[in-house]
Amino acid sequence: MSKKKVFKRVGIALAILLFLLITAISIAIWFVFTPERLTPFVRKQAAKYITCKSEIGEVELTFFSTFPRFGLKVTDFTLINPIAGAQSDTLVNTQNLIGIVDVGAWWKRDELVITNLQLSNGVINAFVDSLGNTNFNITPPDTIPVQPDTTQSEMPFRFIDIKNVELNNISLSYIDNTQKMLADIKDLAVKFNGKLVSDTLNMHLNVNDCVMSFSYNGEAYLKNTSIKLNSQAKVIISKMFVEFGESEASINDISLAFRGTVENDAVNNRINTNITYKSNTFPIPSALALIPPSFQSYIEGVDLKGIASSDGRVSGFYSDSVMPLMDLHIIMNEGELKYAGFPLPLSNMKGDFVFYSDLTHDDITYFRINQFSANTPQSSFGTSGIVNHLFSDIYCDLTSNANLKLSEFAPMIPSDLKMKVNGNVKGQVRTAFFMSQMEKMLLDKMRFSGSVTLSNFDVIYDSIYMKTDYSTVDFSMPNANTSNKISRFLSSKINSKTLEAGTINGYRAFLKNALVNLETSNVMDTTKLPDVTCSFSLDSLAASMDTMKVDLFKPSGNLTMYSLKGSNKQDRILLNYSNDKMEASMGSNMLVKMNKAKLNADVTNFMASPNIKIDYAGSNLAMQMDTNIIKMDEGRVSADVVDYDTKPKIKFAYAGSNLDMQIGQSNSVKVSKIKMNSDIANDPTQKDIFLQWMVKGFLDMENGVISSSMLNESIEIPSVKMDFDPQVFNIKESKLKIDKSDFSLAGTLSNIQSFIKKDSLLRGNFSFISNQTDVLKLMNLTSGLGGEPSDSISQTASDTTLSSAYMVPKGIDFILHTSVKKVLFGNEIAKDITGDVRVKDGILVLDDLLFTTPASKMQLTLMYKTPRKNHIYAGFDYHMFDIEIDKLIKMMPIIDSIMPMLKSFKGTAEFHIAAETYLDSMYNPKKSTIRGASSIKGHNLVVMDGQTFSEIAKTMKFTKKAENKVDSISAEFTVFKNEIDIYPFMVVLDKYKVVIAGRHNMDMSFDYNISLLESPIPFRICVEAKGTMDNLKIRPIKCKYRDLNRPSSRMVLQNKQLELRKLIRESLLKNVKK
Amino acid sequence: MKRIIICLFACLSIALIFNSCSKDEESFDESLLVGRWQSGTLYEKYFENHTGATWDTSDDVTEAEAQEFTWTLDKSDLTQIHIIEIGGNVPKYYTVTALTSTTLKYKDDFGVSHTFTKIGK
Repeated sequence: MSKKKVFKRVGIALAILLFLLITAISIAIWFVFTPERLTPFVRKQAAKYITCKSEIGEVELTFFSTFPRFGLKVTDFTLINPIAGAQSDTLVNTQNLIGIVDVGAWWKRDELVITNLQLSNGVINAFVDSLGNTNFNITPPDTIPVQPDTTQSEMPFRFIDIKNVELNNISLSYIDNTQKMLADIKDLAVKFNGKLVSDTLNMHLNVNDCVMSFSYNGEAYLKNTSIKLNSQAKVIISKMFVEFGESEASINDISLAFRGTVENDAVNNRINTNITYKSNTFPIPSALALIPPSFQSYIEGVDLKGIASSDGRVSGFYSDSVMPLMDLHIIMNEGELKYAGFPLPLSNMKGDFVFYSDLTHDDITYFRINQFSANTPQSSFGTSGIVNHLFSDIYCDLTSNANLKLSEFAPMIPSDLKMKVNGNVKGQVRTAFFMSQMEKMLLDKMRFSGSVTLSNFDVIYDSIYMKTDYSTVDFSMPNANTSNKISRFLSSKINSKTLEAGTINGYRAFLKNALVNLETSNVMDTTKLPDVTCSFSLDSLAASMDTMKVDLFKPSGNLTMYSLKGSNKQDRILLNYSNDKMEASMGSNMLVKMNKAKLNADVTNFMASPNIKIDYAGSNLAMQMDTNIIKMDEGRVSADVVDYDTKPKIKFAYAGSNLDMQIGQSNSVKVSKIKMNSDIANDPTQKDIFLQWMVKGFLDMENGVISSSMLNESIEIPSVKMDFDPQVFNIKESKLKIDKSDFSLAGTLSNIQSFIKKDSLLRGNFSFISNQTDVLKLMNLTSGLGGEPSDSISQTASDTTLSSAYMVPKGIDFILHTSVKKVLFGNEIAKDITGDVRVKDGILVLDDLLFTTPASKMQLTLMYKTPRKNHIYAGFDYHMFDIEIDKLIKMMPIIDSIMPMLKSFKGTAEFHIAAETYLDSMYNPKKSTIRGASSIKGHNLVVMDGQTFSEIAKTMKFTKKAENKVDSISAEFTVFKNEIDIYPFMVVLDKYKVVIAGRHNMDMSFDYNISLLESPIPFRICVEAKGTMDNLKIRPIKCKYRDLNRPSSRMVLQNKQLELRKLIRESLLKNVKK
Repeated sequence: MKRIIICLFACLSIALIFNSCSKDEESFDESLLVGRWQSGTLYEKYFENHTGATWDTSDDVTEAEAQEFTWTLDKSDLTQIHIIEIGGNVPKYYTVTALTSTTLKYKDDFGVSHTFTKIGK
């Protein structure tokens, strides 16, 4: 038989067998295991195993629908177990229940193999009341005595294999009042496969779809939420351990993949988790919708859109007190946010966040912002960093950057703040702080740093404004410059192209190309001033307030201020400042200009008792106030002040060149070099300002020139060197030149302090040495000093006119030891003048000045007293030796009036005169006080032709000769009030002796008696010359002095006259220096 | 000769006439002079120690500012030595014509006279 036939026959046999098998199955299904037979059987069996009421519609055996295995199909299966409070009496209700049970495995190997269990269109209502009673505890209690458990888990089946379990359109309701938990699942479609070996279940669960609501403890966590789940899992039942393989789940449209383990640790009453997950991108609103209602208030008003994704891991224990560790990574894109409390919508939000926490341990919890950025309509900003200690004192360490258009944020500024901001701010800022630090403003504990750029920035706060076109501000808090030991709190670097600040209608400051570095200690510490180091450099600074303006060009410097530090434990301010040019003005009348100025200041202990050191140097300085101008080159000033608060002591040094001071239109002081050092001590116990400030030091000045409208000539000061202290001014050297005069002054001015205290006179003792002194110039120069000019006209008319008398100072005692080689007095010249000039307590005395003129050698004493303004004393004592009579008359024309005959003589004579009078305030003599006495004595004189002499000679029958010699002349005259009395004096002319006497009045009338005592003629002739020069009457009279030359014959009157003459002369000669 | 005698006689007579005996000088008690005297605005005061002072209120001079002098009264010769403070003396020589407890009159050689009334000591 061929193989082909063999196969044919075998095939036919198998077909017959198959037919017979199908026929047998069909007969079994349709005729043996009919529903009518199976249903009662199942109902009977169910009653054995189910304690609650059950309803089973129909049970039939299936084969073809469960091919290739037999299965049972139950329709209208219902379990009814009413319990109080349950959502329904029905525990289970399903239209169709199909299941395949491998009966052989169960029977032969004690294995439960369930295949293709299908549950469709059903309802499951599970309920646990508050006492723990459930409606699903429907199995009868086991009445067999329980043997001691020798195994850990004894299952009724050695092996359970569940394949293709499907739930379709199942509604599941679970209420657990003990947990206050409610779950409601609708449209549940589940596929389940699993194998249970021992107590280990390996399963695959696929929840295709369901709509789930879930609430716990009254909080609805899910509400009609679409849930999907596809999970491969291993369950160890005894341990209540679930190990998820690669699983997927979705909540609404949020889908995620996950894997890991979950274990219910009954021993420790906790759940152990270790789940990793990764979501697909999902709409953020969907996630927000999952926020429980009680937390919805946190996002009230928030309209957040965008997409997000998340991955992460949840691991650790979950219990009442412990939460598992969550390591969640969230990425957000295309975010848009509108929030009622924030007037600007945010768009293009991107974020990358990590949340790491077990919600319990603060030390491991953090929220890290890997990156976040967002845009407003016109601005953008972003941040990154970490936020931790979320459950205690939140710590933020964020680096933020922004590019802000500030006008956008104007609506965010409270209207009552009266603030407007415009411009752009761009930059990056790093902040690191605890919230407690922020709340308490513990700035020294926080960290801020960054760099900000301001463009077209303009801010107005109330009346204060600031604007800049471009500025950068770099700052670091604490100070990034760790080398700075005193100001670690803040460092800031400001670089501004232009910066303007001020107040509206008030002050204004404008900075150009400013660079400022500022470092400071804690400015929030109110117990002390902050330590500050600041350096600055500007191209220019312009500031103004009202009419005051300051312009600085290239100012730069350093300022350091610190407190209670250093070797002396003292606070201190150090300043180094310089500028190329400075101009300051106030109104149109005050102006200061300064070039190349440098200022160094060192102030120590400024909070208690400041010690101040200041050094200033400037190449040019010019100051103007009204018509007053001060200019100075290379000026240097240094000052050192100690004990400022108690008894200030100041060391002051000043040096400069080309000092030029203009005072008014016509007064000026110019000094080519000046140097002054001084020590100034303050005594606050003194009331007088001069006594409060004690000054000592020295002054060195060269080549000065003083010009004044009050002075007819400029005063040149070639040099002045002077030491001074509170009690004594010691002028070592001073040289002055005034027109033709030059002199040096040296000496001491003492008792200054005592004088101020009014304890004693101010004493001066000076030497006045001059090669040439023009007295009239000096008189014109000093005339009127101390007085007030009555008006400009009188001042112009005469430089020596005073509206009021010069009052000699009281309380002073000055002596001027003069030595002048040549004195110019008008056209007269005096030489070799020596003597003292003294001013003492209201009295001015020129004491015994000796000098030589072309006319004679002279001695002069002058006295000027001012007891009161309208009663001024002027007196002089004047002695001329060997003076030419004609020059005497020329020097003192009044003599010609008093003794007209004197001009008839030629030759030398000695002349002594003393006189005094009191003057009124206009220097008019008070006639009642005029006193004077004079004596003249001449030898070998000649008589010149003269009109008066001719008349006398004619009357007395003299022989008229051109020149006649006389032996001598000696006369005295006095002045009393308006009376000038010429005492009888004798003129010897060859063989004539003539005695002349008489009175001359101030009204120029006179009454003379001329007696010819001896002559060739045999009798004496006496005449009386009376009247005035215009009305002269000469007549012979009785000889009054005929015996004047004969002592034995003198009459009483003549003796008296001679006695008085002697008295006059001796009193005058008493003052003549030998 | 007779003419000569007559001439000589005439000359003698003339001489006698011109050289007649002078009138006896009047003498005053200087104690009467001590005190303060006023003549209009002019004041003089004489002290017993022969010092004195004078001032004229028309020139705005007060008694305290009076200028000093020394004085002597010899019979009718009143001599005032006015003292120049800076040095020097100005003698004034007067002839007293009347001196009572209330009145003082004197004149100088040039006929200038003054009349004072005593106003106190």
